[in-house]
Amino acid sequence: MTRYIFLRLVDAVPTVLLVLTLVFVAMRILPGDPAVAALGDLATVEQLESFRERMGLNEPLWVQYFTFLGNALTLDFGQSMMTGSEVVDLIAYNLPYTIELTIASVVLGVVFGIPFGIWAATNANQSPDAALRGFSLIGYSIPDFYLGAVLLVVFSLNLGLFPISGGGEGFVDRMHHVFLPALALAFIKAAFLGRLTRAALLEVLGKDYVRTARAKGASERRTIYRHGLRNALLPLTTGLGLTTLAALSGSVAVEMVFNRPGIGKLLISAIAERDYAVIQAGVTVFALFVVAINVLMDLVYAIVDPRIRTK
Amino acid sequence: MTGAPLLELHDVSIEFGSPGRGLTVVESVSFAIGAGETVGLVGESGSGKSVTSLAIMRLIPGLVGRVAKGDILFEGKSLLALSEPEMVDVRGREMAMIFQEPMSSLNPVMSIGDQIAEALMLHGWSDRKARHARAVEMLRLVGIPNPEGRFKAYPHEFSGGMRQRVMIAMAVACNPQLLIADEPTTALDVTIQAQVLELMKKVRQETGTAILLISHDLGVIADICKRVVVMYAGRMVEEADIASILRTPAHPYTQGLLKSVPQRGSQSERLYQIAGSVPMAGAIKRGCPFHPRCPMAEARCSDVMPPMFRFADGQRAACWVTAERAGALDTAVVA
Repeated sequence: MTRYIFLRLVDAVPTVLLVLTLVFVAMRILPGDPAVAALGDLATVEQLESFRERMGLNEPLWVQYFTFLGNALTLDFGQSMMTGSEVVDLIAYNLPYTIELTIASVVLGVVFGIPFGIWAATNANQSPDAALRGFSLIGYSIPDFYLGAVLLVVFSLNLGLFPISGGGEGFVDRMHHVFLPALALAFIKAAFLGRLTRAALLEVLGKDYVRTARAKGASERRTIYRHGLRNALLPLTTGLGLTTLAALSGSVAVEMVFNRPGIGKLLISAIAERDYAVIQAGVTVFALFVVAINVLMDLVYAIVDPRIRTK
Repeated sequence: MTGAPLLELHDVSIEFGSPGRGLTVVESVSFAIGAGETVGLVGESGSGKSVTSLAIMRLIPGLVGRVAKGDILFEGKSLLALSEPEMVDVRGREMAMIFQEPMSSLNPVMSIGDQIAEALMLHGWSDRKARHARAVEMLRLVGIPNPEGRFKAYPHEFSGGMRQRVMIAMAVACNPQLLIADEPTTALDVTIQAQVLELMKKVRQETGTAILLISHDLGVIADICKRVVVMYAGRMVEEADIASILRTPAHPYTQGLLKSVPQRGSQSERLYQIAGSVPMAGAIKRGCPFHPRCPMAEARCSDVMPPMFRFADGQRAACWVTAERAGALDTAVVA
């Protein structure tokens, strides 16, 4: 098991390097001059030149590349070209809000989606199943930012039950702030996980070992949870990884709608202002997030499935 | 048969599909198994033998199919009258089952020791240590090397034959009175088949359990069973002790089956085969289900289903023609 974890981590190293390289390349082929973007159209040639010198933009590309790699590995992303503050500090301030939002939305999605899926699977082709089908259709059809706007208007503006913007201070206040945006993101997750749970559980419940469980005297309940769901966890783990990643991309729009701090919102404003250093850092953080979640999923697989563990 | 039968099937019909309008896949099957007795149930694929065994365990999902007619008695009590929780308690303790597919019949994410221990736990073994000890003992009984060390192993670390041994260990862990084995050796190599059959004999000897062995292979049945029930297209066509079946098969279908077995020293180039193919369940609505393929068929065979006639030595078969020739008695009331 330790060996498996170690190998998975080693596997992630080239992925991280590749991701950093892609970020670097993407930044260089982006149209527009960062110096002009930072200093404005009225800046003199001397001002632009000195800015480029300061930011290392005059160095040969490969020097810039290795400088970037080295800096990224030591978590040094330079200063924001706009505000001059350390990018690391910006990330450190915004990241917890995004993580919080991601976790909250996944938890809500799991809490609603999985039991709904179990209910539908154990009542296949009956009304609970139809209810799930309807719910999933709606869940898949409503974009998260639109749902977010609706929730915001109804529950924050009209009913005044939730704050209108910001991330909140202290645990309770933060949870209060995160609830609506998380709900907006969780809707499609519940729909997705519900369908997935239903399909996975129905497939597993038709397996021979489930019949064996019944034949040895396991109750229906025990058969479904102990033997069925336990095996359905394998496809569910994959789905959980996918939906967690979707929460990241979804957070960009939802953070804008709810005007709450987060990497997504930071990234959007950085792109609008061509704040290269911040964009670079933001994209890197997102990419590392994806790698981390994938490694995590691999570990969960190993816990869930003994066949993977012993390989 | 000794004393009152352990399991009795009385005129059991099983129907698939919607109630009342479904397809009858098993019709009017009646036989009994005495305590400690080993009975074979033989027939081709689709003859209804597996469905019959699942019906005894009440493992056919209610939406799929059900016993539409007749009754199944275990120790004189109707299994069909039991509530689901009562039936759950019977499964695994009073009667257990092993299946054809050893590769897929064990839960892949549970250690084999835990799976055996679970069967015990479900039937009143509350002490964890005792369960562990019993599970190890069962693994040893079925010939798993190093049972103590293999307790924590998972099914994928075992071969098919070893998995079937584990299935047997699990099935007999609670000392059931009846073990239903549905094609337990079909998926295994011939040498492993022999080992598993030997194991079943050993288990029978040590636990005294009755066995209902389902197989399409008369050789397997002959090896282990005293009495045989032959099924064809959802109908029971013959029942007799194994010697009578092999020497004087009374039903033309059984005769055809025996002729199909390759004979040592036979000069013929081709193996014998019964003409035609097995009809779909419920396809033949009138008369004897075998009449379209039967070399002896007469007019009445396509008209009226023959009852089970009583031949000599307790042999019973459902055939107008052979019964008449043998002067067998009509048994309106099935023994």
